[in-house]
Amino acid sequence: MAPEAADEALESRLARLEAVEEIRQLVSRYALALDSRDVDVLVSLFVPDVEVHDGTRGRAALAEWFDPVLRPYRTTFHLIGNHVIDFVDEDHAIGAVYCRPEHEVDELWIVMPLVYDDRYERRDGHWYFKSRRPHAFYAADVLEHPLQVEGRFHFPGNPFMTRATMPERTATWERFWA
Amino acid sequence: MTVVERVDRLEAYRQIRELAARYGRDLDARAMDDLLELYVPEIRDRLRDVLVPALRRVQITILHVGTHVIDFVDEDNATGSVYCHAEVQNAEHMWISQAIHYGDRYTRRDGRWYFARARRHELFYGAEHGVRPNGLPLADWPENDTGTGTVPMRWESWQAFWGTGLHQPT
Repeated sequence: MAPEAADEALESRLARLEAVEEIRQLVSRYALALDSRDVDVLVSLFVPDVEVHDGTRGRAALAEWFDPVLRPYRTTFHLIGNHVIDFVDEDHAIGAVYCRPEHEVDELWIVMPLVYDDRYERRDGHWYFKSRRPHAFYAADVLEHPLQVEGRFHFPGNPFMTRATMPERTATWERFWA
Repeated sequence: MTVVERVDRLEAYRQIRELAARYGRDLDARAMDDLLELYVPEIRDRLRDVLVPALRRVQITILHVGTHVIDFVDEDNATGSVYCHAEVQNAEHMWISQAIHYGDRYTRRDGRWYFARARRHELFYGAEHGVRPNGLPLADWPENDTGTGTVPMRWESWQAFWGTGLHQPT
């Protein structure tokens, strides 16, 4: 390899390692910002022209969307675990993050194991969420049996998360049992 | 940043993440020497005097570390927030779940990262197995290992969000 080519190869390997770290930080920052209700930090983790769930665009619109979504419960605790990152190209990646959030919902304490279906994008040298889609395995009060809850989903008053779709939504699960 | 600085930063992330994981492993195994070596040398003796009696008051502990935010202050200093879900067998043989937030400071000495001070340990809650954490009396940890903790209510962004400075939205 010519020296310039070697430098370029090293640069791209280094950039890939930095990308992994930044993306790992993104998902932890999201959890902390959510639990501390720091909506400014929360939306700053997304690309500036983020597409909001209601079809609007931008961080201000996302902050507006988040507000009612973050009010039906008080204390929340988003413990992050498994994180798989796949690079599409040098500026795009997709990821799966496991999370076991707990929510104080009036007299209930709702546990909702879920996986985030993430898209990440690099803008001006930094990585952001392009999108995050949470898919729940179940939602149930900490004293409830998840299988004795209708549809494996008991989360009163949640305007965003309304049903359990994991693992059935994955094509591999379907195929395995077919 | 130069290539060397960038590699330093990558190593820093890994070492700092490992500090949190090693803390869990070493504490659960009561490997006190290993545990104390995660801290800067000058505070180890003082910490041993605090940690040993505290850890003799509980039996089995399982510290499952998760969410970890790391912010660099400069090339040798960083702060961090670490979440931990702990299961604890306490002195009364109760089995307790705790949701914990650690507020950390890290510092690099001779190329290695350490906890720069005792970890700031804050509970979201502690609750006995089979008990909902809702509305428990204040834990005032380490006075009690169960009860309502100090986060998220302590956080300014939390108080600003609810607009009241209070736990309960109006």
